[in-house]
Amino acid sequence: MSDQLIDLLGQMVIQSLLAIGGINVILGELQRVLVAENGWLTAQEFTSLFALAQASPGPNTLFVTLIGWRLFGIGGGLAATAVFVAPSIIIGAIVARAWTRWSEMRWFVVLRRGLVPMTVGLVVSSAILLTLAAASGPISWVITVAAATLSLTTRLPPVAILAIAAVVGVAGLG
Amino acid sequence: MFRCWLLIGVTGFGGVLPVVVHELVTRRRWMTHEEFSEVLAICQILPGPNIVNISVIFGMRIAGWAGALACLGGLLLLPVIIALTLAIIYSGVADVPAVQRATGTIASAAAGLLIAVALRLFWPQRGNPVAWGVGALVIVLVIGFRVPLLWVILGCAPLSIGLYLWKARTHV
Repeated sequence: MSDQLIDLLGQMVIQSLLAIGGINVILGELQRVLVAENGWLTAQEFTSLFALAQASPGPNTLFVTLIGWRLFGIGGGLAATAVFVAPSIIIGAIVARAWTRWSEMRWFVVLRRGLVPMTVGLVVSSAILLTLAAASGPISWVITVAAATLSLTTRLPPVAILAIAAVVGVAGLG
Repeated sequence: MFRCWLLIGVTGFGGVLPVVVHELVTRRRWMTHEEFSEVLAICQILPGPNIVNISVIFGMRIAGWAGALACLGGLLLLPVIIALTLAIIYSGVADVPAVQRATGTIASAAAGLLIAVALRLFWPQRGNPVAWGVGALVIVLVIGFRVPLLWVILGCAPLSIGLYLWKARTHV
């Protein structure tokens, strides 16, 4: 295994453990590590892979699969996915045994409610970073705002909104 | 159970949670709404992708390790194959101008969807000064100073919880 692959897999374990509240929380951090710090991906590649993961059916975890694939081929994609979900399996197994006791404890409620402000801040940060990375001109801003508005005000599924955006792009407006 | 999660994996576009609720609670009645909310609540404070945690905990409770692996495998198998196939097709046509434009606009729309998620999370907290304060601090640290997430969490999680406790105390 190359050093870079080991680095990447190590990062995925760390990222998985930091993703308290889901993968949206760590998008900003992933971008910092993969694009800004190590230069493994360009900002453009990062956002295209994210777009591709969003356009595929299935959990957002697929973004990690695609990052591994982009850097190390199919094997890299599978390995990145495996190490990214491994900590969850172990933690899930432990919690599954104790969960009914936990859910009634006061510290658990405190932890759950108390962490919300931080989670909100992290997801907003991820949203800002992705918006900036995707912004390539006035039209991309219009699309971002339109997608957010459609998602908030209509019942359109996310994939429909992405499909509309794809059509706009193919039509040459983007 | 494997088949059920297989279905969940393929049908969940851009967020699998609504499908999980529909399949496990509404259609198959493997769990009640209350049980599901409790599992979800726990998964939200656990590290790792929520949906992976949910599938593992659900499978574990029903059938132990085999159950956990069946659920997780079902959840990930087809989506991973589909995403890799799409990615390979994409890399073959990435130079076509129309595809490049579409990738750009999809990325912009995906960012917009994430903004919507962020606003939905924030909305119930809009009257909470702690959320404004801690949220703003996190954004400044992450975007302004590019502080590694580990330090942001180590610094802001105790602050976030501490302020919540302090606020709860002063309000009773």
